Amino acid sequence: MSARLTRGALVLCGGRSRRMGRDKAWLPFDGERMLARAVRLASAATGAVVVIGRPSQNLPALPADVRIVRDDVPDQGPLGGLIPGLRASSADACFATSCDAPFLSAAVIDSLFDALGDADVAVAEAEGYVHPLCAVYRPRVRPVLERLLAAGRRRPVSLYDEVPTVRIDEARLRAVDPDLACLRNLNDEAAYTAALADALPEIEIELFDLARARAGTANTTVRAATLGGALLALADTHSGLVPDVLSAEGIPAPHWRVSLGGERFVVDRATPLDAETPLLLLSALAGG
Amino acid sequence: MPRGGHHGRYLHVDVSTGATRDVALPDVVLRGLVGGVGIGAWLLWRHAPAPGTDALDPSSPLVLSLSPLVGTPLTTSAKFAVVAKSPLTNRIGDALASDRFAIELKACGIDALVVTGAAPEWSLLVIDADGARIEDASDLRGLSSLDAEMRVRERLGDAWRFFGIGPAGEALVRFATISGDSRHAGRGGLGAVLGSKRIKGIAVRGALPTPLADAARTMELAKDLSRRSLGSGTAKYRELGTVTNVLVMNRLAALPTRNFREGTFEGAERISGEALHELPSVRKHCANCTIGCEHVFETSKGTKVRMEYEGLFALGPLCGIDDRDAVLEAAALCDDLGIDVISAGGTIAFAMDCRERGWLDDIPELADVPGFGDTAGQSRLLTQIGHRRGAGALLAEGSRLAAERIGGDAPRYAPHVKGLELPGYEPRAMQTMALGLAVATRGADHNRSGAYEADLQPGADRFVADPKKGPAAAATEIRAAVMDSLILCKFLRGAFDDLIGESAEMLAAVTGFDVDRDELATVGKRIVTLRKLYNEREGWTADEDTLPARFFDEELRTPSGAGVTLSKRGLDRMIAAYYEAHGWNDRGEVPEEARRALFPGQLFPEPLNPQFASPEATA
Ligand code: SF4
Repeated sequence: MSARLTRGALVLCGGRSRRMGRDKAWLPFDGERMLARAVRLASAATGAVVVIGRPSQNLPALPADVRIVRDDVPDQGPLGGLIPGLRASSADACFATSCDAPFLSAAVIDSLFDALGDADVAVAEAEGYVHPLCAVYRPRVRPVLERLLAAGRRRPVSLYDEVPTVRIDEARLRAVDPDLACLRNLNDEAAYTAALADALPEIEIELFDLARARAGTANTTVRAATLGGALLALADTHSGLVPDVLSAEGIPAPHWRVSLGGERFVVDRATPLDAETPLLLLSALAGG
Repeated sequence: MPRGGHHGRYLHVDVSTGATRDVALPDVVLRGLVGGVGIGAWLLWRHAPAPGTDALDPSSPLVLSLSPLVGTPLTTSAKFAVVAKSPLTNRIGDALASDRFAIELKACGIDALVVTGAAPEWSLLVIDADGARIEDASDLRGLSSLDAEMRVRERLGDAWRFFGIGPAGEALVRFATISGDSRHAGRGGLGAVLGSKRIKGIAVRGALPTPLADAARTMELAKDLSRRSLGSGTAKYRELGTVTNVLVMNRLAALPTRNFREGTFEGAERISGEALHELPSVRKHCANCTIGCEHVFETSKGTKVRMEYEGLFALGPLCGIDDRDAVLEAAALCDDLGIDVISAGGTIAFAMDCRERGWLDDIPELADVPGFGDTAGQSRLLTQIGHRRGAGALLAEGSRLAAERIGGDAPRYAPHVKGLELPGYEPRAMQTMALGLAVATRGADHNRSGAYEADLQPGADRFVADPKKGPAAAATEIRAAVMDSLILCKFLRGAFDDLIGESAEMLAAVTGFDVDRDELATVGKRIVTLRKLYNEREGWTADEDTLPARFFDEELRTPSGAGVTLSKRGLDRMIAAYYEAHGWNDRGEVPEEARRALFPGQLFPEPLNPQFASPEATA
């Protein structure tokens, strides 16, 4: 039965990112902002995606077919974000995730949908916790959520106690995601740095003339697998480069060039990088 | 629409007698060649004596050519071109200079000044809206151009502007400059041409505003251009200047080091622009410029020096010198003497190279030449060159003639094209630029060709001589000719989306000519062609379009450690593609039909002395 479900995805990004200290939706990760990454990874295993943000939250660019809705009442925890998401989605069931899960895998999402059966919720449970943002929900749980929140009951287990819920245990999760990577969140800088380090090579960047002056350094490193990823990360970590050298999205300003190891100039953002070859950022306004 | 931008006349002064002539410049010429290097080349041809006449012969003209934009509110437009036969190359020589002098000369009601003859004694040419006169300049002899300028302004009044030569111009050093307020028309030895006329300098004061055909539109465009001149495309020049190119070129193995033995310099950080910016510095502007790219650095001795990448590379890495104070002091010395920093550095680096190869041991007049890295020796040689004393007597001739005197293999290592010393781009590491340097009419030239731009394009392999680069090199010459005739500063080019189209709009608003993009592109092509034709007239052959032979068989280390040479065959194929892109024949000559197509009617300059008219021109 579950095979015939139309699948949707809800990506929640309205959290306050308090421990991170900056909006996690905007964190660069290998050439994408985290929200865009989560949307891409979730949609690969589902269908239409709804993004749920805080009222007036500024969001990174997303594909045109992504629907954006806002929390009815901000700061209500994950259950609060699910309500407008489920209202906006027309799918039979929706996979729900936060925007700071860099390692979502299609296999995990598939196994949640597969496990749903006739239940209203399928939720991952591992290392002693349930993970409400690694779960699948049917839209019909929405009235229950509304009632629970109205009563001030914001803990996710309140929902699972009230509606038919399948819990996917750690062993089943590990069968498709041995390191439980899909449960990793970027709660603080340390978690973010560790996730980048696990996923991406360290690339050395050499900065020249105005780039050096604006960045206040001649050399820096970023974690990236591609040229686009390196430049986005650079723009993010060295905001002085924006806008005269790079745009906020890491696009070089006119007359700025990127060279791989001083040998050849590259422009394709998908150009793969390796830890042995530094990137050079320099101005083509050489003459005069 | 009324006419604006031009005054429609030029002044011809024969300084042998002091006779002056006011000559009309017809609209067809002003529209067809615009100003700057374009009108300058036209007047050079018109006043040229017999082909092959020595550049320092009194009959050889020196032209100061203004532009229609001088005196308008358009930013960076206070510029003029100095055009003459170069004593260094015996081919066309032209150099740009800027500042208030351009505005005052234009306000004398002329579009150009042509100087011929030679004064009986050292003189000052004084020009105002009433005409020209010759005054005694014996008190200015031996002074730097800047000191002479101060003396002249004390004498005539503070509102006067001056453009003149230092001791090197007086001594006919083949790479002497002409300068005003330390802004030099630097390349090709035009200071020696003025010196050969025994003119220490030209003092000007004008009173006539530049007429504007459409003042409202000009103001609108000027406002917009000023706004754009402060954007990202010029930020580098405003904040750092060109000196930070040292580390860029070094990292690309394109920084000429020890007379082109290497493309990277171990002392690059120490003399880098970044190191210079640790010194006290101030930023300066040419008149009527919103950008202000000039960075004046103060040495530990308190000397204040304007410094650009070209001077820094030539007096630093090229000579194996990594002492920033010494390089700045050397640049200040070049300023005072009035010599071109690139040719001075290039010629000295070449001599140092010959010393280290043991080729000077039997040449007594070069006994004083040190090896690489000797700062005191470099300074001594600069002074000797500026006064043509000691080793300077030969080195003042430039690296080409010095190499001929040294003999043996030396000419392979003399760093010049057509006699003009190479600027700071290692040809093996920037092989489109190698093409640009080889074919430029002025000799090794980074101002009339922007071929390096193609080397810095993504996808381009700068280590390969690819004939596909021929059209790119030709196109940059046309763009440069447009900028150099308008004249707008090259540092503004980053502010344009469509350089030629937007320039045409400005030109139309100022002059009232309804020029568009296509017409202005044709003007650029016409100017490139006219300069080439001048060289043909003076005996140019395609053999001159080459580079020093050592680049063809000595390897340069690239950043990856690989070795690369410039393939002679590859260069020749690029040159053939470049000739073809310009519509020239396979010997690089301008076909008669192409000349006629570009110079319809009366546009081609007819020599004033009919004896020197080419048969085609009078046909
Ligand atoms: S940008 Fe620099 S060189 Fe150009 S006009 Fe301005 S100050 Fe002069």
